[in-house]
Amino acid sequence: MREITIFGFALCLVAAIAFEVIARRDPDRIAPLGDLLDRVMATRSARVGILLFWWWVGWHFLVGPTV
Amino acid sequence: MRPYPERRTTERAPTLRRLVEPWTLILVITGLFQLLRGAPVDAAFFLVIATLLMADAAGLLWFAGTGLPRRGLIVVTAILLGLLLVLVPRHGAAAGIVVGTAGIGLLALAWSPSPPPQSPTSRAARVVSARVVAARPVPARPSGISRSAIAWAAIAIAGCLWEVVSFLLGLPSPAAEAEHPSISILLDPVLDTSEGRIGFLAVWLIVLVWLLRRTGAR
Repeated sequence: MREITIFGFALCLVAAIAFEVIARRDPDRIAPLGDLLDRVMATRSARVGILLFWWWVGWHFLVGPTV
Repeated sequence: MRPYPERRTTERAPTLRRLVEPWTLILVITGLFQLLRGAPVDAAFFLVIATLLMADAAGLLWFAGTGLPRRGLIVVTAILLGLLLVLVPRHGAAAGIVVGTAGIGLLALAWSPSPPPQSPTSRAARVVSARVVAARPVPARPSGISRSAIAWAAIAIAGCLWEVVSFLLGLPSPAAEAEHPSISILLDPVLDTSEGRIGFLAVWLIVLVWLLRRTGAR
């Protein structure tokens, strides 16, 4: 089961990388992540929310108890 | 015409929609999950920020942010932040002070309205922009953006659900936790090494600089 759990996380990571590669090859069809975020982060709530998630990753792994 | 001006829910929109924009709702859900996993401090981060966003949407806040610094200053600050976090012990008070201070500064930056971009930030967007200018008018909502949003939302939701299920399945016992490790369980031994922590910090801070470029920092 441990291997299956790790495989699930790895699959998400690989899917993200593969999707970005596809988007950069054909940006007319699928916008790359940077272009999507350019649009999404035009609102304050999205900008604050996304940066809060980024910050929380650092807090969680560097400061708070992770286990 | 400015392509991505600061967007706010209009004054004529229903009250609930004005107060709870999608990302605000995401923060509330995340905060409630943090309470479920027994992390009240983490929950407070998300719920307090969600409350501030709702207060802002209701016109109750006057703070407009500090303005966006130039990219060079952001890079230098990120490097200094990384050096500090390499030196201070993990999970210590000093790390808490450094990360906490960075968070307050980041909130002030994030609160600032995005300036209108002078030109697309990515090479791909510039290519798209040039083709569109040459061929046809820019659509109000490019389908490529929609497809990208759907795909990235699906990936993010799938990853979050996998993490939540792993966390819940690992609750009963240490043996169950070993069979269903969360991302934290998997990464913790890596971050306990100097190399692992440096690698994590490098990726984390590169992502920060990249995200701040999306806010219009030049």
